[in-house]
Amino acid sequence: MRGLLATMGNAFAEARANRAALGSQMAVMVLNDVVWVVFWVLFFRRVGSVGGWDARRILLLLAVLTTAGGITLGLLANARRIGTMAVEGELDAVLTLPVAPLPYLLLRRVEPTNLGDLLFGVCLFVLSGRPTLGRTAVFVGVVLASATLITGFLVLTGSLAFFLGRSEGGDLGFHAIVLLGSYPVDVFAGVAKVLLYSVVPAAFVSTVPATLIDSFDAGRAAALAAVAGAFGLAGWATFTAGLRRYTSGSLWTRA
Amino acid sequence: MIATWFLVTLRTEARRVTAERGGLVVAVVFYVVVVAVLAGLWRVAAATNGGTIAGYSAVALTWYIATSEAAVVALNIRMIDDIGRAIGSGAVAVELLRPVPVLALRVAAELGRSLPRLAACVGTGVVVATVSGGAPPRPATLALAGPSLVLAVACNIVAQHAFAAIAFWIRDAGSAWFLYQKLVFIIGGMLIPLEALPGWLHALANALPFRAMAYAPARLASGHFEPRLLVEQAAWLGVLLVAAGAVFRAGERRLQVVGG
Amino acid sequence: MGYVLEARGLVKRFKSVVAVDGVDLTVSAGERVALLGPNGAGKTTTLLMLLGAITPDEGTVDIDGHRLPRGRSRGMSEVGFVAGYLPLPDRLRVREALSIFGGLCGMRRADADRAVALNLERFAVAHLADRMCMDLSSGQRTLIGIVKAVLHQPRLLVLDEPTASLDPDVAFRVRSALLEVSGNEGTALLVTSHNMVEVERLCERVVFIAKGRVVADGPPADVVAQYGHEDLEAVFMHLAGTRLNEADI
Repeated sequence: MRGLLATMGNAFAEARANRAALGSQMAVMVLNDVVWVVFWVLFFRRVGSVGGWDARRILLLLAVLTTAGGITLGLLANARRIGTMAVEGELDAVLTLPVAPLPYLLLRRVEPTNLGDLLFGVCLFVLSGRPTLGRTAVFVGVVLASATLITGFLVLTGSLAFFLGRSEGGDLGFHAIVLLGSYPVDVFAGVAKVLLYSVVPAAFVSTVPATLIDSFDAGRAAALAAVAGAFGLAGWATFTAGLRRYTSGSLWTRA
Repeated sequence: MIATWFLVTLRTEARRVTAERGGLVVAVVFYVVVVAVLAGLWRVAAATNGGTIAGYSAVALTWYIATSEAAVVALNIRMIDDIGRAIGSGAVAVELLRPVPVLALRVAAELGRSLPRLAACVGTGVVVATVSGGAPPRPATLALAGPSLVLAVACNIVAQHAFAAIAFWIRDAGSAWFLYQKLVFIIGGMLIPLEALPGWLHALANALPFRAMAYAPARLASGHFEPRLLVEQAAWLGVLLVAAGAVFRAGERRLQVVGG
Repeated sequence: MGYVLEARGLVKRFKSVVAVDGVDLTVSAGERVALLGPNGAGKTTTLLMLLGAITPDEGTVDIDGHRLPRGRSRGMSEVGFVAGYLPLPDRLRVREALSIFGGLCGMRRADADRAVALNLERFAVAHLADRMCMDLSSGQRTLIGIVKAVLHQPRLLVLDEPTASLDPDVAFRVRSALLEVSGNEGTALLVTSHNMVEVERLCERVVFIAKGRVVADGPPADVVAQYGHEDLEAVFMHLAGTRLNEADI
């Protein structure tokens, strides 16, 4: 545990070391997210509501997605690089350390740009999510579940590179979960909707959490926790199995 | 006349991208997912608004999104970042030693990388749009959308070089990429037809070059016979070339003064 | 029993090429062993398997009784690894980077800070404590790498070409300090090097690998005698030459 805390401390120390860049990168990401708000406001201004979703609900969805995404991509930044590191043989230095490789890798790097997402998401919830004590508690819970799910999914798709020898699966997984999580799943129908509740669980990343904040339902909350846990475990298991097939690239990088 | 080195560079990069099938497949799958999601959203929106939005039918919106996304997804998503890194690392300083203009060589290479992806996206996009939305609203305008897409990609590449050239002066060009990308998304018309924007924003978008990068080909593919859009794109390409050339020359002078 | 490192029957294949073919290697507490062999002999692959960076196709690796890969974390907490190519966090100061690494090895902050100060002195690099890692020369990086590796008092120190980038006087100092670490703390050393003079000065046992197999194992003098040469350098040349001649055929 002390080792993992030290890892996290190291990641933050490195991020802080370049303070000017940290601030500007976070600001740029906040601006980036503001553009999405602008898009949705323009969209709903034109169309009113779609499938029960209006501007207020979509901003709540965006708050959940950016906060959870900010946790995964900002604080556990290597989650999206597992595939590349596996294929390029960049894990050597990590494997010689006296810590469990996956937690170390995940905590090893902080991505300042995506910390902007985290900041933006929290601010958006405070400004547009009608925060009460109850709603805030649900927000925190669903965001943690969503972040677990995104992390597990990224580790899972990235770890496929150990078996396939290519890292494109991880890239695709990243784009798919972030992109599909940006839209309310109710605009889809048929097979697409089934896929979003299963193979690419984008529905559980944003739509289900945002709905839970507005109308809490214990059964749905339990389903969210179960899916998040399942993807977290699946990611861990795939990475562990894949590590046995890892071939050194003699790249002793900082991961 | 186009110089031989330009064509050789373009062809070499195109072959390299075509050979890397994994990357091409990822780009196309990503494109299909984006089109399916966004076009689906706009179709539902049209259905709940009496069948049209800002004069676009559900079918027209599908073809609009399929085309606007193809124009943008075809490009290297991190181009500005990559150019910035090349400038920051001194790679551009090395390129200056070659007997050809750096900017033209880089544009040729990026065009070479983008055109195979564009072809793959367009081929897939026609199928996706037809299956999910329906037959093109006016097939004849698709013939204009083809060259318009190539012009859109060229405009985008040249403009990104102009933006990325800020790396000659500041260390981190990554932030420029985010801002640029979002300008193309909204006032370039990639996510939303410009006619659906509020009046003042629509007027602003019409005065800027970003509409040449997504809106122009998408407008044509969605059944609007407006050949002047091609002329407008060509004009913007000229302006952007002059601007990027000027910025790069100024940057090169700075490299020579400061040292690369 | 009682080995700090025990590898049995290691085999590693890369497609049809057998890089390592049944290597056995043991290192006892406090022992100073050199792992030698010409380029392409399978030395690096063996080292990577011993460090747990790649999984052998056959055979086992135990570090201080912990079998890899399951016991990786506990096993690696008894290992320090030194190589010129190992990265340091560029944006941190040396003292800060070393202290964080101590934490990674489970040391309390105060203990880590104390160990950092002690070892910076021991390797005569205390003046680098407040330098940014990115500003270190390659020789300085190697020295800091050694400090980092001994910080948590590991039972086994693995050193890949430890003095390759150092001036002769600094290399001498490093060898002396390593002998002191080994003598005072009972730390075993496993060294790879192309510098046979260094090996003779630092190690009491050499293990030669050629074509993926151990071809000689014993005190330097015995190995030299086994091949009927004057010194280790000549044995090394002999093994490299044999490989070359066979390749020519």
